Amino acid sequence: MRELYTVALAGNPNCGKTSLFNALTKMHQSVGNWTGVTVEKKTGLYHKNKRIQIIDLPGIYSLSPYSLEEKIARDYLIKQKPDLIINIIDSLNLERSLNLTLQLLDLGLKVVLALNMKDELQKKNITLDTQKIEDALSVKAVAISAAKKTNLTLLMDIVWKELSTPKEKKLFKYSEELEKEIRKVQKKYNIDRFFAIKLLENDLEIKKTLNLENQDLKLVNLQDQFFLYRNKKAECIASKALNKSLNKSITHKIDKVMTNKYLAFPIFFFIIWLIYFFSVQLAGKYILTLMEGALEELINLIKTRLTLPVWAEGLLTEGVIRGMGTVLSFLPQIVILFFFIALLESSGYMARVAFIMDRLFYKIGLSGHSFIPMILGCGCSVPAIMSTKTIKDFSQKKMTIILTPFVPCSAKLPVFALFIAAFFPNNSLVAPSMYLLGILTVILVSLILKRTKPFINPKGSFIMELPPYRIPLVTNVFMSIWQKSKDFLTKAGSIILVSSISIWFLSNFNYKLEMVEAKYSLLASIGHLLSPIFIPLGFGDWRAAVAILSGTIAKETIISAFSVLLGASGHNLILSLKEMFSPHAAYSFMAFTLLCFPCVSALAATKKEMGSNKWLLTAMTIQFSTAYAVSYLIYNIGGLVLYNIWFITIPLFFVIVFMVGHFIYKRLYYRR
Amino acid sequence: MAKKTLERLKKGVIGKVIDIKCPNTIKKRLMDMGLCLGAKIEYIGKAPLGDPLLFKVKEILLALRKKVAKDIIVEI
Ligand SMILES: Nc1nc2c(ncn2[C@@H]2O[C@H](COP(=O)(O)OP(=O)(O)O)[C@@H](O)[C@H]2O)c(=O)[nH]1
Ligand SMILES: [Mg+2]
Repeated sequence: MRELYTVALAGNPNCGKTSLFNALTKMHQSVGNWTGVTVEKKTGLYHKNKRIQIIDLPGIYSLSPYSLEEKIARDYLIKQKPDLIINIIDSLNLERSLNLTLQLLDLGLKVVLALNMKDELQKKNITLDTQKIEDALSVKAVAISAAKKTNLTLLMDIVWKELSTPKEKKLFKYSEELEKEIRKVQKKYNIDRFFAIKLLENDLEIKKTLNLENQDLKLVNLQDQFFLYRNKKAECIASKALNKSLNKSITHKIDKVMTNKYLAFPIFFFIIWLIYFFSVQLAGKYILTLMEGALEELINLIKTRLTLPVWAEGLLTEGVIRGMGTVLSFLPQIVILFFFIALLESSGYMARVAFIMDRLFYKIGLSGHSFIPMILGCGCSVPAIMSTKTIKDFSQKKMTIILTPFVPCSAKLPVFALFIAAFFPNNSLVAPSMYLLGILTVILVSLILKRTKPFINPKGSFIMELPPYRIPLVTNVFMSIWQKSKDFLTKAGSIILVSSISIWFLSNFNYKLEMVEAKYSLLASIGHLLSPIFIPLGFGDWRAAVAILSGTIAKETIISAFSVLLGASGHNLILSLKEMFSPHAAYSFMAFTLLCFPCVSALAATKKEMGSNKWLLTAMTIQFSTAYAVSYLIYNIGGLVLYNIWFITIPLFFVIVFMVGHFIYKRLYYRR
Repeated sequence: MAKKTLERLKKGVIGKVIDIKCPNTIKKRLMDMGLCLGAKIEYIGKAPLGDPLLFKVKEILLALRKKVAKDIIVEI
């Protein structure tokens, strides 16, 4: 007998896979990523029999994948070949689910059916005859409720029995003509039955897998015939197994309110406001202040009680403890954020968000899901970027992650406040102009990115299922919060800690590794080295470069960096800044602070959600070049405006020409 | 028996899908999600800004952009 058996959970989205997974594995589960992508991979051990390993696959509608997630699920099934598939079926959508079941049977693996939502069927007084399904498909079927945990032990006993007996050949047979074609293809290419069927269904991915993509196989395309045959069979089984069809659910009534023409937006904004208030305002500010107080206490304690060499004390207090403090300070925000997101997702509302916001966003290559990160971004980019987990489409997710930091987060506000006090004390438009600049940049950059290769969305059409509204399961919400917070602490946390220690080191040591004042530190040397880059933007002073560098730790650090480097604070700081910047250079500096890549914490979150260093670098490059270009324009056009108002007409002329050209191009394009 | 494109189906009227003219990948997707030839489909409403549209096939709620719905032919 083997040591470990793998059992995969497969089924349509929202059929209850994760609920069953959580019920079967309890705390014996771990979350990772599928290799190379940031789609979650959940594996766990059955809590009553640790020899059964369970894998929660992404939801699939068929074995001909359409999205990345579906491709992952199918590749897993055909390449890794689990010992058994538990096919979870939403009994309320029996017919459609059986279409998938029939394809799973083509794989030739052991399959057990779990007919979920038994409780809801009972509530609706519908009976489901599992025997009829077993007879029709010759596989075992159990009616369960993942939510109420009914019949789960029975299900797993059957699974164990199936695992420990050798598999008998039980395949689902198609019509005589189709079977003949299948046999022909199988023989010709010497492949498994499943591959033959998919070739006949004209599946391009399978062609690639078999290295046949460049050949014209001269096969008849039987896609429709296969579909129809399965569909008829599924319909027939479903009508035999269920004693009556479903009546209207309450979902329709709730939707009348939630997606109502007049109420949809107010309700949506209220919900976003709730999330914003609790996670960014309350947790982000209030709990943060408490934690910072505690942190100062701890640092003081270390300074007074322990006698350490200066460098060790600095490393401990400024590097390690502050770094860990930063990591921990994000934790309350993230816990609360994922509490709400889990609620929205498992109640079914998240799908409605995409539905009602779609119109606003698809023109710029994003979807309604991108809206939540952007709003959260006004508070802090870290939870904002973490919330892009809800975006299923990978190219949209990447774009949203890159664009979100352009929204002014609350840590940038003190920097703006300082500069406004110094340079534009009587101009009330400067502060709002930062928000406007942020939003315009989001729109412009997304319009550009949308047309570049990695972000083009080939399947841009919006086809989405709105699942029925359901009351979320406490365990599901709890598991989700727990996994995501743990993930953040371990993955993003380590990056934040390391960079906080590095910045401490750079700003306290010179190249001879002697401890020095900030002015003579390695960071200052780097500042000197980098400062020429910023001359075209109007702030070529090395201290500005150092301030920007220290801003990568947290944007508000820019202020303390200036204050240390200029040796001034309060009113004197304002005076010294005035000597350093001209007003339009100051505005250019503000724009640069707004748009340049975010602090390390947000970068750590970016890396985590993007899944690779390559993508992190891409994001940083796009953000840096955007900031550079915008600041360049602001400084130079701003300068010209100050000295000669007419010069503004030249760039304006180009913008107008571009817009008119774009308009004409579009007209012609649509005429075709 | 009148033929219509799906986006012109009226509320409360049930149509039968007779043709899906979308590109093959999208057609396949629609069929996998339950919107197949012969299925009975009902228009439920639209998003507050007019697009996408919401349809019901059996107990499944499907949201489709107008662009996609235009390529689906129903018979009433
Ligand atoms: N009434 C009822 N609801 C369930 C059952 N199983 C899952 N759900 C709910 O169905 C929704 C989707 O479940 P989930 O496990 O996230 O589905 P997944 O997308 O397949 O992972 C959640 O709101 C669950 O609470 C069940 O047996 N009965
Ligand atoms: Mg799930």
